[in-house]
Amino acid sequence: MNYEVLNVDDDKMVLFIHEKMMMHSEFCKSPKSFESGHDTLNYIAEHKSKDKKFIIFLDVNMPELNGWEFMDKLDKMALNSFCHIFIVTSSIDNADKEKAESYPVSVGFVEKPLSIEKLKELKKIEILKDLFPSK
Amino acid sequence: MNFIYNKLSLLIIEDNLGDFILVKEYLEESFQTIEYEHALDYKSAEKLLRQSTSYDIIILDLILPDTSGTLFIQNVVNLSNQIPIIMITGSLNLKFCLESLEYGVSDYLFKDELNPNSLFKSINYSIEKQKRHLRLLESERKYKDLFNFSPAPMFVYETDNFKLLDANAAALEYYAYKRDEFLSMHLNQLFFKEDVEANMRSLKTTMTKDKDNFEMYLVFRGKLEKELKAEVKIKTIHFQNQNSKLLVVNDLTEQLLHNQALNQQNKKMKEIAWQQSHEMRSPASKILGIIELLKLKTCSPNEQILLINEIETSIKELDEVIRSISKKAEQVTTKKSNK
Repeated sequence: MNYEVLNVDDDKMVLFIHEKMMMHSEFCKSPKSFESGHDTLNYIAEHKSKDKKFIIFLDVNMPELNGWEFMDKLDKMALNSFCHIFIVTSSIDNADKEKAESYPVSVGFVEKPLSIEKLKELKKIEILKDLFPSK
Repeated sequence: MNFIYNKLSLLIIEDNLGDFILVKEYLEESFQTIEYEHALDYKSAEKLLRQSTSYDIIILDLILPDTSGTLFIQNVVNLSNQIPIIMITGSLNLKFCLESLEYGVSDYLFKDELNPNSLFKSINYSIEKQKRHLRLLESERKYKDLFNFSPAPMFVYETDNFKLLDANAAALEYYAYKRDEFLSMHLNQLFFKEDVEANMRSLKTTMTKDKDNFEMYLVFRGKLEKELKAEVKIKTIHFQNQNSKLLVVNDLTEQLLHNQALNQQNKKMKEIAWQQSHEMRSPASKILGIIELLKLKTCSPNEQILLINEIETSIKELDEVIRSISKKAEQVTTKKSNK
């Protein structure tokens, strides 16, 4: 199974940091960055494939389409099965964490800042094990 | 003979010396010791009563059962300061005797029937009667004080027609009415138009009960349309021979305002908490991310400059959020100190 990593955040700097970290930690050699949820949805719809999973790092607080709305749309467009989503937020509000768990497509909750350490941890979680076979 | 009072102190108003000696002898038969003052006329009686009111009893001989006699009695009663008065009269004018009782004389004795026993009995009876009367006055006064000086507003209304009958000072202040204004009103006038029907309906349910506490607060209308929210307690009382209710007010207006202010404060606090959780953490987490990246030494010199500039921007953003939070916190505290 292949995978593709998509970073979604309205802040360019955050995207840059995430990209760099992912490359450095060998989480992903060429992560893609999106500044808006709409662009991401379009990309997924166009590039979906049965033997590929999109691992999406999704920022919650975005203008226009926020993280929750993004997942609602994804569900409506029947694209859930192609995606694993990590909710990324700077919020330390527990309510957000609980809300994230109510979406079946979300597989985890990541507090900003994302770190090399965190990315290493994520590789080991059950649902991603197939994508990251330990060397 | 058993003495009820070993020592009797009295004032005898008697102009006939023979009669005076007779009375004194009768008294000496019944009482171990008597201390007395003797007044021959009203003037000296007045003087003695103004000096001392420590007599147990006043014995008053009245020769003239006419208007001057009536006036005399009234004057002595006024000066007596609640000392019981026994009237001895030679006249058999019963009407006059009964009138004198109305003016405040305790008992009367006809001279013909006067003997040690009748005098003794009348004295004891008058003293005991007066004691009970004074106790009654005292408890009445106490209850009046409880009503009048209570800090809780309370008023009395007629059970059947809700006419306001009495109000204490706190109630008059609470509703901002003058006493005569208030007492010319009916209870329904203490409610706003839109509440009258419902409130009167629930008050009518208390008519047959002895006591009732309302669970919900009532909204009263004070003078000048002031809104007053209060819990009320209602109790049946007998007032001026009318079937009445006492209504005690526990004002909640301030407390409810206070709650409102607290709720507003709470809202502000929640806003602050939200800001801390979201707006402050966002630049802080970005700075932490950038620092981690810089430590990895994977960035080109140009990228490093970019990252350092971004740290500056984020710090400024952070600073702004902190300022806005302290402004909000200030609003919370000033509201508190205004109270």
